[in-house]
Amino acid sequence: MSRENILEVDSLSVRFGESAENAVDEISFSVRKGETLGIAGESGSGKTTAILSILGLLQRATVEGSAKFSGQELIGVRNKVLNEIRGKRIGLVLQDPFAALDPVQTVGYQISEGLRANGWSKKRAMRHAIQLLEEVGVPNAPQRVKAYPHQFSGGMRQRVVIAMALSQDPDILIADEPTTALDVRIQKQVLDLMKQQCENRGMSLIIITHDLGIISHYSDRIIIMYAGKIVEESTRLKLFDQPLHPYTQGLLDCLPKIGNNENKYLKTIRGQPPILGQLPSGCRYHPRCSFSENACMHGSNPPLIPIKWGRSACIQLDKFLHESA
Amino acid sequence: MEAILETRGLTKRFSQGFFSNQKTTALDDVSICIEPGETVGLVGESGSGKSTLALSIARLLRVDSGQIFFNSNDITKFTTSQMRPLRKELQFVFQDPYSSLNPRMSVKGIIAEGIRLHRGLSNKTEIEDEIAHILTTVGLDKDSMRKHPKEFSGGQRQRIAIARALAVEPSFLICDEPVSALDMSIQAQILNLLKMLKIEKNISMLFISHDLAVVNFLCDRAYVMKSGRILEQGRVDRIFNAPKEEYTQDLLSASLLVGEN
Repeated sequence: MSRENILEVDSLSVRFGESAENAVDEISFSVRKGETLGIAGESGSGKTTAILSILGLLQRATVEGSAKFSGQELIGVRNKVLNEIRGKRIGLVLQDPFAALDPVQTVGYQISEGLRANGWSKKRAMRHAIQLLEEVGVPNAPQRVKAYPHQFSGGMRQRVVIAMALSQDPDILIADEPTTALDVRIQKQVLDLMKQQCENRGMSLIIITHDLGIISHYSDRIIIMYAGKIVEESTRLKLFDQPLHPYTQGLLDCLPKIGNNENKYLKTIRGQPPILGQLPSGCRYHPRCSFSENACMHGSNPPLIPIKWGRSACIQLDKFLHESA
Repeated sequence: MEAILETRGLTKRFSQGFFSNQKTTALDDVSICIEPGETVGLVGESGSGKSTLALSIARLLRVDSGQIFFNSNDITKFTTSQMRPLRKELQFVFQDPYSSLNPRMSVKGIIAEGIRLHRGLSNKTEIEDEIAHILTTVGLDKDSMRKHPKEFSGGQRQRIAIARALAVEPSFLICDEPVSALDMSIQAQILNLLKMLKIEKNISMLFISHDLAVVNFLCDRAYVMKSGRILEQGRVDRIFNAPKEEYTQDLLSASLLVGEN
């Protein structure tokens, strides 16, 4: 697999309105060609905001920093430039397949809309829509292409949305909580489908989710976000074996495990995620951290320190590296 | 031991369509049994009838046929006034802590309502002491009493909903997806709270969830539902290690658990 970066994000910050604190605070990451990047975090950690800001889809927000797609800057450029990339080179699948589709147009019309905008004939665009529906596993595609969204189940609707995102053969597919509204069996089918499409097309995939189970099964590399910051970046194999940031360790510990749980309690992370406008000083995780020391509470936020297989933002990183080695 | 709750052949159909001529069978001959002190899970996909069953048991929904026994009394046909004393014994925690709490009432008002009605306490300081005690049990500060639901996060609201249920000292608690709207780190806190109620207060529970790992953590026994029917039931370790039905097996293999890949 080639290891060229397709998306490079550098010191990206997002601020809403007059707020003094950044909802996304100087995050940097990259996506390689053909890989699946998982971005995980709790609600309010900034994972969706970061992605929407890159695509220029946030209103009333101040976005700073840089995001380069194949060398093309995306931040601060005009909509005309973005329109050449959004939908065409970067596809987006959102959480709610009920809201993502227009109820008064056939699914075929919606899938082929982007193609027609690019000058394809109606007939040719519709033929392609049928082919796409077949690819995403909608049975009886030549008939179903004329159906309306309400005639599809939730899982089938999400397949239609994926077909829409794939219609112009993008280089990156971004999926924001793509299966949160779906049942477990359907969830697996939809994720398998996206993964398989990415492999077939050599496409990169970014999965944004709060579900570590999805991350652990589907991503190559993983970014964990907390309160607008990236706290850890790791590979799939390393993250679950050797989580280095106390927040990641805490998240993994608080998942219930299959097995004998009689009279057992879960380990928990105390307190709750901070609210924007009331971010703690020093490390933003320190009020909830069980390893927190005096040095964690003061000064600026700890920077991400590179390690062999990723990065971690904890001033006690050395200690955890030694312990787990 | 006598069951605290038993249902026999519950059936419920919903009518749909312009002439109400399309019938959906939400419950189809459902019989379950819960013994005192037991925590029983109810798993299945959306539309399998889990919530319909829970609402029917709490008599918030009328069933078409079948019987519901609570402490050996047939409550299927109980009137509202006959149900009232039972409301003290049987409490409900809903999925969405944003819509299940009255936004215009203070936390004190929300919790005091049940105490006044069902436990006959009328002395103001007595009630306040009791509320303070309950809030501490669910891990909230006793000063929360004076606040309104909007001042709390999702996890804290769910604690308030649990406090409201506990305030009347129920013997049976129905929890309908109580943690699925919550963040990961908060979910664990609420699960531990429910586990504490089970271990220390010996409350019987019907716990509805689509998350098999959560059911495995909290429950002694579980029923698996599909299309309104109970497919299989058994101790959680048996169901999760050796499921009998193919559907249960499917659900298990589709659950993306951390650490098994």
